[in-house]
Amino acid sequence: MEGYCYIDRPRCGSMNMAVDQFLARLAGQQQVVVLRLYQWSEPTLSLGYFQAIRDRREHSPSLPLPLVRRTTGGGAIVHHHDWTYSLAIPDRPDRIGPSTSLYELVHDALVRLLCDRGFAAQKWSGCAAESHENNANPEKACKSFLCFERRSTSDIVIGKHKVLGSAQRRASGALLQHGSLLLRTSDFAPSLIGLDAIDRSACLNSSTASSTNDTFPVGQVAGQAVDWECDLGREMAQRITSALRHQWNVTLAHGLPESIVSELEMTSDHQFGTAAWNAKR
Amino acid sequence: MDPKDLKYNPTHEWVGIVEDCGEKIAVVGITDFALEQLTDLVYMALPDVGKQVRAGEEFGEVESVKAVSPLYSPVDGEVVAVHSELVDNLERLGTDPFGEGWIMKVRLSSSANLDGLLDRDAYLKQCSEAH
Repeated sequence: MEGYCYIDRPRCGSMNMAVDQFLARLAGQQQVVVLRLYQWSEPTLSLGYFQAIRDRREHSPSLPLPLVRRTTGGGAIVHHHDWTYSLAIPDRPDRIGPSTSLYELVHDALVRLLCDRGFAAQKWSGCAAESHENNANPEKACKSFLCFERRSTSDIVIGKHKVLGSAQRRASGALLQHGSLLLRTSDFAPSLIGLDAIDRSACLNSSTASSTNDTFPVGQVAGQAVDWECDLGREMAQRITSALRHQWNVTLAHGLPESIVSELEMTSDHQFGTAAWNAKR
Repeated sequence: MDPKDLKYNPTHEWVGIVEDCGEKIAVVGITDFALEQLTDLVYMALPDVGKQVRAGEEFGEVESVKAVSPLYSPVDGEVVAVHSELVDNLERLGTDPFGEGWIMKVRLSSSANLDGLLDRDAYLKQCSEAH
């Protein structure tokens, strides 16, 4: 199977969701895989598909932000200093429920990336006992408003901090997976610790120290933040692309064909920009 | 309902036909196999009574392990009852998927598509081959 991988320009919340929906339909109709990495043109709160809009009142720091409801499940995310990815793959109609294998493929690739960058990253399933100890209130960990305060087995954590979570949607002959890597702490979600605030020296262990280099100046020089963020986004795309090639024999070309770009740029946010959608629950 | 007497969508919804005051009513749910695939259900969205559903089109949605999946109607008709208590008691689906786990009842507008649905043996064969 073949497909495309590209890094998109930042867009507003409703357009980001509209583009992902377009790409999911494309995956189903043309039987291609599409990987998109992107950021957000303004800080935005995205709600999980089933979350009630009134629940955002539980989280006062993000109240000033515009809101968009995702098509994927899970908890709310403050998109401020993060990389978001969307991965759309063709799906069979007789499939139902989560695709554990897709969660695993992407998250294993990104765990390796973070470990190569010097972080003691692992999936939450790999440190469940430790994490349970860190979650004084397991019920809260499952029902928290924010995605990054919840835990599920594929989530990527560094110590007690969740730094990446993903969610899925099956529809239109495609499976769409969204995920977000938390780069820096946002004023709109100050309780969440980004990569920049995690002390790598405290994370290093014998298995990661040998692969650590100093090319990723996390939290060291504020002026370089954009550089390491861009670098990390590119590497996320490379690692996921490589995992798809080696594990699923899927080859992704860099960039979208012009014909698809033209069609994509005609995409409207008429669904995701409306109160009927965003306040549907 | 006895699973052997039901018809099945390839997308894992079951349907049983009952007579009510001379009308054919379709009782619809999702299969034990689907529930096994879904693992831990956390949310379910159901249609409103009065909604017109069409065979092969979405009538509801479920979420499990942060994955949202559509539910597809196996029949054409009007929704005349919805098992709304399920939304807050999703465990009932797992304990009795072919009985207390029913999701909606539909007054059939046409029986034409029923013959195209799978019987129990064909459905189980599909499940064993696909997974």
